[in-house]
Amino acid sequence: MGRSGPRVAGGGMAGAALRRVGGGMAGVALRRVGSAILTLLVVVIVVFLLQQLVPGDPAVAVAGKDASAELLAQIRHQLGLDQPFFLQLVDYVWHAFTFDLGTSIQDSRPVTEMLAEALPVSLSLAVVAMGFTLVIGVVLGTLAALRPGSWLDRTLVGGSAVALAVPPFVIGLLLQNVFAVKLGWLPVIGYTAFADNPVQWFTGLILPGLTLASLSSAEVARQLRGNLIDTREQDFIRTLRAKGLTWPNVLFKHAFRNAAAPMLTVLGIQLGQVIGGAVIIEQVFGLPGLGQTGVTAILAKDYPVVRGVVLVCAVLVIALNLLVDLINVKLNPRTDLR
Amino acid sequence: MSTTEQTAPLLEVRGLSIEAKGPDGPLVLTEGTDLTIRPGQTLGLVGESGSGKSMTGLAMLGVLPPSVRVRAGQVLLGGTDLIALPEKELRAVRGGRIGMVFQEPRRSLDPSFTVGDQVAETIRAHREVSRKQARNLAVELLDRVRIPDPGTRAGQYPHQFSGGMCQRVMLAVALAGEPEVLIADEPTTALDVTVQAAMLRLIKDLQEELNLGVLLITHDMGVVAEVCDDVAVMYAGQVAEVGPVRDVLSAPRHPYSAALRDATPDECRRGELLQAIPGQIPPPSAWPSGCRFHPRCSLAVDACREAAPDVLQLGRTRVRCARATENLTENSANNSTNNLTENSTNDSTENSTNNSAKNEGAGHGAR
Repeated sequence: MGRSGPRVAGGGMAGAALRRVGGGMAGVALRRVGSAILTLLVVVIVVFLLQQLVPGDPAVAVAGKDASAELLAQIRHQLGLDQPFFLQLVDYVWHAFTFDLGTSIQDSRPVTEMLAEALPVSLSLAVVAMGFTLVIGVVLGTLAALRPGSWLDRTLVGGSAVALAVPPFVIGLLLQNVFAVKLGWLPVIGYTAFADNPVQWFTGLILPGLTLASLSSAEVARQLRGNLIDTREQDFIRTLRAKGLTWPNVLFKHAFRNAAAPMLTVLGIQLGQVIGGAVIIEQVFGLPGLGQTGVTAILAKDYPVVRGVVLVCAVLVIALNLLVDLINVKLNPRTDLR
Repeated sequence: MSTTEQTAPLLEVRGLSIEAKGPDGPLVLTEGTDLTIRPGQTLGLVGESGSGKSMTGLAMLGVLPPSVRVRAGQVLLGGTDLIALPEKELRAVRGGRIGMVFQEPRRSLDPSFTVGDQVAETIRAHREVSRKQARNLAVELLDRVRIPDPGTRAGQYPHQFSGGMCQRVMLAVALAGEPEVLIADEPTTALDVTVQAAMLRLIKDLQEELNLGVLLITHDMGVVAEVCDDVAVMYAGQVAEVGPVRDVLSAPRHPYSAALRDATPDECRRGELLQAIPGQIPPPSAWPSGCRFHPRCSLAVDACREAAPDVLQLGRTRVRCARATENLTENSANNSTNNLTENSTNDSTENSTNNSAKNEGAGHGAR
């Protein structure tokens, strides 16, 4: 009934396989975790197949255009490209699940090591961006819903349409130009590790975080506004008023709780967008995260690194969606009805 | 049933008029409604959909929809006019002195909170008790409305309850503030027939225990006959007739009351065709001039079309019909019955027991 279903490939199959797990909140949670793991397997396979679809020979990319046939054959052997297709797949999946993603062609470093360096940067950016998204989205959405049709509501709805229409990197460049270059309030580019200096860590992430949040907070605000307005028209709101509760109590305790569940689902989708958007925003603000690692690797045809970046991003999206789903189960008691 | 004159009124509605915002200016929904609710007694407010009976109930608590407001009149609770009361003081009355139960019990409860929470929250809104005390009181209340295993049920969500059980929870919520008055807006309409009687019984029992004044809003004359002491019949935003149930049902003075009574299966004698009232109740934007019932009234004369009738006090009932004193309604009810059961036209002087016996066979097919 109230089950939104996994949003990623492989979920249907997972749901069917795990139906036996049974009802109850724990059962639903277990099903969600199970479908997330199956989704992950599918992602690893797709990431492997990606390599097969890309034109060009990776061995040529490593050795250069003028390399001899013997050298190319030797490199192919090193990379395992001379193995049967299916063996390559099994080999890749197996290693992926044991955190071995191969070696970078360009840097000759383990891919996992490179990812381990880039991941904290991207995660920091994502966390800050989601924080901004939640705060801005919830505050604006609630304000707009308080008086539908007021000037504030119309301004916010119009503003969110603009925010959704403008590409994030344009907003990023604009913010960077005004607040960092012109006013000098915030750093223009660069990243400071949280462990080194938490304050600098945060100030460095304000502008890229806001840039990423501009799109997702507009979406969250719109969604929350709509949900709140819908909820306010439900019969049970009348009961709450008739039993003598104050307006703030009706609104913030009851209406908000009911509007939050669908908003969280939107937030889950936005998380994926934020991680995707980070690729470009990291370039604008000079952040050495997954996006930058990925772009460099693509330009160098360093395919083990590319696959690693795609894989980590997918894992992030799956994990965050799983988290949102689990919170939803907790928030929405009807989820465990099945 | 005791006589209505004995006790002092608990809640009085005087000249209540309600209007809605319309595209062409305000639209009057109800006009000049007078009602009296006494402790330990039940007033039925009966009428078809669109007659304004639900709006009257909502207006009494000040919980009208945003586009609707009270235009004039008073709602007097122990001498205080609730219409003029500031929001903060009105909040103490809502759920405190007046409890309310709605038509759709499941949709009237918040799906995201346990039923125990929803009862306890009402208790805490009106009484100075700790969280824990409120929870215990909530379980007691759920027990009082005869929900089995109330301790466990208090921790469950509305979707885990049947419609009838949800309505019991609603009743517990309505009683949480220890009210003097209970407004029940179609409390059994959305329920299975099998649980309707139990629900009415429960309301009746609680009323006796707590000496509640009850306003029962319904479209069902059968329900009125069963549980009400007084009845107000509403048509097109006006009270057509109000008086003791026994008087109104046995000798309706208003043709609409008579028609409504005859349209109730319980009141229809076996073998007779169930009466339907011809036509439909007009929307507030299309109320006719003169008497609002005249286009559907079989007894309407020119005077009914021209002038709005005055309210007449006849015995213990008040009636809004120009021809009420002519005592036509009793005959009309019989006449229309006879007209529809064609084979009895010659026997119009015979008593009705004979008639129904004769028509038994044919009537079964008709029903």
